[in-house]
Amino acid sequence: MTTTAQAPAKATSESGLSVEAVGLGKRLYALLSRVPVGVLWLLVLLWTAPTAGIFVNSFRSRDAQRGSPWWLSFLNLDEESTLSAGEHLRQAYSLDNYADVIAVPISSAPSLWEYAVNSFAIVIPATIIPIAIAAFAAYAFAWINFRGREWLFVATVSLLAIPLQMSLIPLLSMYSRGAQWTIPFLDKTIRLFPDIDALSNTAVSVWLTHTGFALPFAIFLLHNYISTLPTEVMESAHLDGADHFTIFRKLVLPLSVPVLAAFAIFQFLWTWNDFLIATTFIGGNRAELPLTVNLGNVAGEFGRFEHLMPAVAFISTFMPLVVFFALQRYFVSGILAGSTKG
Amino acid sequence: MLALGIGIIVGALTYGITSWLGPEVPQRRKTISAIVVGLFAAGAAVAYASLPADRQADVIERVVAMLQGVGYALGISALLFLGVNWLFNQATEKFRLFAALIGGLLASIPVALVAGNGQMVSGLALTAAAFGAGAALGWVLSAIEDERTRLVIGGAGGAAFAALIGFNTLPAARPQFSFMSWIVGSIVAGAIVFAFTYGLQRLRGQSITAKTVLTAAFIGWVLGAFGMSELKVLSYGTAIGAWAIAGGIYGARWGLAAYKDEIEQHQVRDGSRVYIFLGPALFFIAVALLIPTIGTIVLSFQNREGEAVGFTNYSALFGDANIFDVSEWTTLFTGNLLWWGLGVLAVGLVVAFFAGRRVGTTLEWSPASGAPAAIGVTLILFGIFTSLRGVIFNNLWWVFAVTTFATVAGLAIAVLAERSRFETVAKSLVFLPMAVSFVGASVIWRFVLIARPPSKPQTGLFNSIWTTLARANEPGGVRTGILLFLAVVALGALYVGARAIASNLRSYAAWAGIVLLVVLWLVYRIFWGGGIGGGAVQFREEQPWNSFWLMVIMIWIQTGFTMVVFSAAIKGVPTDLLEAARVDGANSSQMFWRITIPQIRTTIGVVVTTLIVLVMKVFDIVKVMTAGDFGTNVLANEMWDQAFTFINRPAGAAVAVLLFVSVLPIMYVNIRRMQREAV
Repeated sequence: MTTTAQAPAKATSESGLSVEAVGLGKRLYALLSRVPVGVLWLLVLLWTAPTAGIFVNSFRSRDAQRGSPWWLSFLNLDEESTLSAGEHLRQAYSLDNYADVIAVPISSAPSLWEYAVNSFAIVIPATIIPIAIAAFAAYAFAWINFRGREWLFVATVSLLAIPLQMSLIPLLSMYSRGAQWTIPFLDKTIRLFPDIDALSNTAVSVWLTHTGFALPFAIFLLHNYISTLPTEVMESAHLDGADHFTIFRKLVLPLSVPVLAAFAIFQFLWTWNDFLIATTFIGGNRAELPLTVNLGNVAGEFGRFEHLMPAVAFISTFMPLVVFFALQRYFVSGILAGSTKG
Repeated sequence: MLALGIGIIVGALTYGITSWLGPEVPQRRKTISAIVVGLFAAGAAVAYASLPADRQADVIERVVAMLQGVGYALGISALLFLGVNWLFNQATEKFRLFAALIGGLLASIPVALVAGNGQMVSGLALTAAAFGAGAALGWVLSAIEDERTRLVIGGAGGAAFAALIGFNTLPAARPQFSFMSWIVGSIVAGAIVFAFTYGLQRLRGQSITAKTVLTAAFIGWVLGAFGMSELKVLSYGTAIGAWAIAGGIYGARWGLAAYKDEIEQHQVRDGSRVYIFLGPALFFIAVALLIPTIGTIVLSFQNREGEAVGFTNYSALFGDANIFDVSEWTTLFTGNLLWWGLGVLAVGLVVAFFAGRRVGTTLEWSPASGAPAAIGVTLILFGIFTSLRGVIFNNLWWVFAVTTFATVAGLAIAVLAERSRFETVAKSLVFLPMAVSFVGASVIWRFVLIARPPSKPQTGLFNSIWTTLARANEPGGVRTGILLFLAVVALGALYVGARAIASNLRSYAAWAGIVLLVVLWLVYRIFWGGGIGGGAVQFREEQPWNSFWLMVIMIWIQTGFTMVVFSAAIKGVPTDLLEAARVDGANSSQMFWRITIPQIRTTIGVVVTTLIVLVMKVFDIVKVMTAGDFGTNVLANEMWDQAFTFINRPAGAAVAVLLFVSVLPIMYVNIRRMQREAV
């Protein structure tokens, strides 16, 4: 870092290009040496523009959104208008869209805050329960000696390779019809889980699914961390007569907070932003849909509520953005660790 | 006022939670996020207060219902887990209580299973009775030290209670007596189970005990008497007999295990931890991943009626023109992309050849030769993917385009940001899209790609630029501006080129030449060659490039990921290597290509494999933007449509298996690497 972060001018001059240039050449050269920084800011601008656009538009009325592009929204383009620049600015932006989407139902569906509540109903259990389950499993894989530990761990991690799509059809039918098992060769069917039908089209089925899918990755991530805790501490705790449950609670859990936080953030984002699982398992039940699926549906309908889309999109992405800015370091490590998830 | 109070309280809470979760998070960031969350909460409170009274009641009701649901979910999970831990702690504290509870569970679970299948006269009552009887038996047995007494009491107790259960089963759970299944079948099945366990125990170096024999006998009996014989018998006699024998063996087996001395009690308690700690995880993995995966594979070889049909579903896939369409392959040769690509590739090869002659290799890859070659290959592949249509080629196009562009853009931004004073800000802004969901990103890009009627102003960024460019074809302000800009660029390129030739730096000269050529071509287009830009483009609908505009969304998101990874990798390149190169007179370009790139090669591999797997499964963007219409469909969306829109589950399963098989090799590499790194 320290050696590579050179001023661009110096970096280019080392390339052998002109040291003795004079006059116009020198000035042009100075200009050219800033090209890399210029390119960087151009790229950053390109990457920021789409989000900025939706943010600006979320404060503009339907007519304004359709009448002029957002980057000209501060200009008064209407030639017949007699408003001063200040008056125009005051009228150009308002919170009306936000008021509309929060309070008024869109096309007879629940209003936005209800979808947000639904999202929390999925996200909270889908974040906490996998962490708890995976932490215990990771501890067992790391610190309890039992037969077949290595191959069981490898088998668990290998399941990362399975795409979600492989599970959707059987899981959906299990949630609606219960679980049955036809014993091979005997042609007799046993119902292992009753067909209570209460799980289909509910938030519960979604977080149960998230829990299952999260585990191989969670176990892998937490195991990496927990298995590197100092052996001496564990052994002395054992000698003091502590059993595994106590060691886990008193020693491992407090020491593992960083990795638990990283996984929690990753899992929170994953479930908050999830579209596939929610639309598959509760797509038919509008009353329980989370924000993301609702956003997808509204995007599909578009048309009449087009002008509310930016506000809806911004509210839907608000939670992840807060997490992003508040816990950026954990966020990055969570995202990076999670990038290999199946 | 109240809203303000709520905002302050929520903000303070946020501050507290972030401090607790991340003690090293900078003060300023915590403050800002607390203020933002507080403002949001205050806004929510204002919105709530502005609702009419009946709607307010709705809000409270929904929120309370949500909290209740979450509370139940967390509470039940925690109680179950702590309960099992408590149960096995009793093994050393109150062993008789422990034995009673285990006995009750062991007795009631089989009864509950049969009752759950609706085969019991009154399921709930009998399950409760079974728990009571098992508990009583466990309580009694746990105090008897003599093994034979326990065997007899356990067997007799189990048989007696099971006979009562057998009397209460409905006909569908009553087996018909047949010598073949009851006697021969049971012995054969029992022998197989015994042989299996025997082998397993020998492998582990354990000796065979009476417990092994009894377990094998029990499984053999259940399979023989209940599994292989006819069910649905009206008489009670056989049912009572079959149940009593099963219960007898079960009880005897439990009787053997019901007493533990102090050492064994500790072994039970400590040995149970593995199962308690791993049990929930393995259960969820089995139910959500393992069993459904097997189910999907089996389903993909069946038809809708559940009959086995071999590879019919797969051959139907490749026969479908929507999925696999090579009929328009000739457009590859009539289009421009292939020829342009070949031309640029040839330039790259020629440069590489002459550069190679200088240093004595066949082909020398440097930026001047490598960049044209890479661009040429990209153009050729784009030509291929725009002429071969269908879901499978779309998916391959996605994988190629997103992986290539996101990797290159991420690397470029990481390198450029390294030299900038505002590194953190620039990187944060590029990384931001990673926090947005794919659906959110699609909505954001809808407004970038939107096309308005020609009479209206274009409010989408892309169409606005495109239609503005078109105005350069007419004399006017826009043309003058663009020409001025091009003139400045051309002058700069000329200058760099001249200095580079003077200093014998061929790659700089080559780049200047390329920039000059592009400028000349644009000028030619503006004045004589049909103009630049054009009318509003329906980016979502105009095939085949609409697929590419969807890929742009993914590139936009994933560049943040690649950039952060590359940035970390570049910072990890040993500084003494770079210093040594600098001392040897390498320029920054050479240092980048000869040292940094080889040093971060593994990281590039990680990024590329990760992206391939991710993009292979792309779903949300296509679903939200086009729902797979206009020839933009991909495998994951095709799978979803087949399975859940057309309710053709086997076809959907076949697509899922295809997806699974195509990510498998890359995931294998990925997981191997992850495990190597973990060690």
